[in-house]
Parts: sequence; C-alpha cells; structure tokens
Amino acid sequence: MIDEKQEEQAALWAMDLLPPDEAREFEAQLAADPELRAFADEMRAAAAQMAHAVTPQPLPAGMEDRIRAAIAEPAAANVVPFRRSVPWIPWAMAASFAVACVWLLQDRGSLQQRVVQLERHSTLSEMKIAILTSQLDNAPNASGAVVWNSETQSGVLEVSSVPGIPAEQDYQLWVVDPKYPQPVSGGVFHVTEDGHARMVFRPEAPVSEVKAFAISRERAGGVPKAEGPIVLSGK
Amino acid sequence: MPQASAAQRQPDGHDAAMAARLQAGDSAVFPELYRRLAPGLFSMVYEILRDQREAEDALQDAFLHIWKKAATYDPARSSLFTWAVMIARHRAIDRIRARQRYARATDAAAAEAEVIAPMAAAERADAAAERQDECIRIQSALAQLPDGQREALDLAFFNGMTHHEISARIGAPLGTVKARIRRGLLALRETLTKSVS
Repeated sequence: MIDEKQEEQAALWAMDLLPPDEAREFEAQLAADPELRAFADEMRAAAAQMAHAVTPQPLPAGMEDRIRAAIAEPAAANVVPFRRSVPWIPWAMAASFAVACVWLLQDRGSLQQRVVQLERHSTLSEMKIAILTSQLDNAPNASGAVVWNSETQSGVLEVSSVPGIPAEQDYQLWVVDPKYPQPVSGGVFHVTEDGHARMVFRPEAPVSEVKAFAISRERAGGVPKAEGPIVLSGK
Repeated sequence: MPQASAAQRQPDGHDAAMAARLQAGDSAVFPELYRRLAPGLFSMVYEILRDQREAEDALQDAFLHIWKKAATYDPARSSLFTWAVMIARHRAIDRIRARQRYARATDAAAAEAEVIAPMAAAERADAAAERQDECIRIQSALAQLPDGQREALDLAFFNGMTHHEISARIGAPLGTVKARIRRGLLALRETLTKSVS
C-alpha cells in the first residue's frame, strides 16, 4: 500500500525535484518495492507527457547530420560547450575555457566512479566559473578566469597580461571558503613573458563553498597564509 | 478521441527492439530514433531555453547521452520517449542554471527563466498531425488541473525550479507546493490514462 508520503516522494522524483541524496534513497526504496516502483514510473510517464504541451518547433536544417557526426566523433570531442562570449577576456582565454570544461568533464580518473551520479544530476551543475579582475594600478588589463568543479575538487586557472615577477617570488592562488578562517591555497605559478599562465589546481583542503578566488604575490614556493599584495580577485 | 501517439506513453515491444539495437551500437537505428524523438525533444528544450542555438546544443547533448547511455534504458520501466524526455529536459535545465551562474560571475543581471504558459496556442501549422493531436490532448489535460497545481508543474518542469524556489516564487509554504505537485501529477496521470483507454 502506497501512502501519501510515498506518493509525494514519487511525484518529486518523477519531476527530478529530489536532491541527489534523497533521490538515491528513494531509488533504493524503488528497487525493493515493485508496487512503489510501478507507481513512480507511472508518475514519471505522466510528467514526461508535459513535453507535448509546448508549441511544436520545426527541427533545424542539418540537425540530424550534425548529431550523427557528433556521435561518430571520439569521446573527447563530444562535449557541447555553452555558447557564452566573454568580450572583455581575450579570445584565447575564452577558447581555453572550452578546453578546461572538456578536461574537467573528461576527468577519466574519476569518471567511472561518477557514472551513476552523472545520470542523476549533471556534472555541469557542479561547476563554477569565476572572472578575476586586476587589483594592480600598473596593470589594469591583467585578468584571469577560473573554472572550478566542486565534485572533483579541481579547477583550471588561466591568467593573461599579468606582470612578470622575480624568480624569488611566485603568484599564489587562493580559494575563499567561508568555513575556513583563512583562504585555502590552490598552488603557485609563474607567468610567461607575455603575462600568460594556465594552471590545473587542487586546493590544499576540501572546499565546500567557493565565495571567491584571489591571486597574491608571495615568496617562491608559496606561503601557508596570504601575506603579499592581491593581484587579481573575483567571484 | 486521439489515438495513442507512436507508442510514446507506454513501453512496448517496439521500444524494446529499438533499445536492443541502440545498446548493440547499431548505427542504422539512428534515423528512426531521430525521427521518433527529435521533434518532441527539440520543441521541449526550445520552450525551456528560448534560444535557438542553445536548444540545438541541448538536443545534440541529449542525443549523445541517449546514444552513449543506451545500456541504462530499461524498457520494462518506461517508454523510450519518457526516458529521452527526462534526459533532454535535464540538459536544458542545466544550461539555464549555468547561464544564471555565469551571469552572477560576471556581475551581469541574472537571466531569469521565463514562466511558460502551458496553454500557449500552437503557432505553427507545419507540425505533424500526430504531434498536434498530442499537444491538444496534453494541453486539455493540463487545463483541467486547478491553477495552483498547473502552475507548480509548469514552474518545475519548464523552468527547472526546485520546490523551494517555487515556494519562494509563489509565496506558498513548501508543503503546499509539494502537495500541488503530487496532486497535479496524480490528476494528470489519471486524465491521460483515461484518454488513452
């Protein structure tokens, strides 16, 4: 016998409204209860019918061929980036964004472990993009961007037009998580002669919530706690 | 009374046969898969995203997932259409959320998803007759729901709002929102079951 609470859970599950942990718990119930499973499946079928309640749109010309070609491509290329231009970030960096997203989505070291999770909630919902702006009077064009994946606890930083610094100093990335009294280090890096750098990073401590990213200038090798001037920051 | 649309409501032998070919990686099944799913899926993701290019990308993304994750489809539990709808909707909702996060990151005004009216009249006469019949059938079923239930289902399905967000949007307690979703979906299920039989 299905009670009202189970009906409610089934309705929320059918509409993909259950948080991931509740969804997993509910699906475990479904696996053990054929009656509940059949009911939940009927609710999902009813939800899916809402797709018909829209104005029919003509399919774009060439869409079938485009999808067929995408299916035939190697797996690494099968990521459709979001179409968002960032006019005040150099094109090379915008292109690198797409590459970074591909990298993060194809993190093969954890991909198998995440298959079931990916079926329940998209990887993309775990990603954060932050734009970093210059805090330097003498380098107003310095900029940066971070693509952060909270699920894999990793990210990609890319900066441009950042001034070079002596060998005895490093730029250090910081991740601001309010649960820590101090920002968490994301590692150190140097820029090339044209002020560019790209770094894959993993914070030194688990990050639950990213409020902001910052880059400071520190002594070579980095420091446990930010001391030097902030060069770039953003959220 | 409209006939059942291309076995899209209940799983059947045709779905199972197509799934078997998908799971075997039979590329020859793709044209039929596309003809069967693409029109409905594209119309839905377009309604959610309201952007032609993003809808195209979401549709492509959905088909890639359908193709690569064919092994996860269970014809005993749902029709192929139901399975595909939830995949495509997920992709579209993800794009809305990424769009909102990006807007926050660039200090731009967050783009709010439009509230989609379920009873929007069909504007194009070139839709296949079967799709048009189905559209009318579902719109009629939704029209029979009380306003609160229909609104809750719309906000959840087409705008990707969580029940917490719906509660905040319409100013109703969370329990009320959950109840409306439950009752609305139950009523929709019953109405659609009756119309098929």
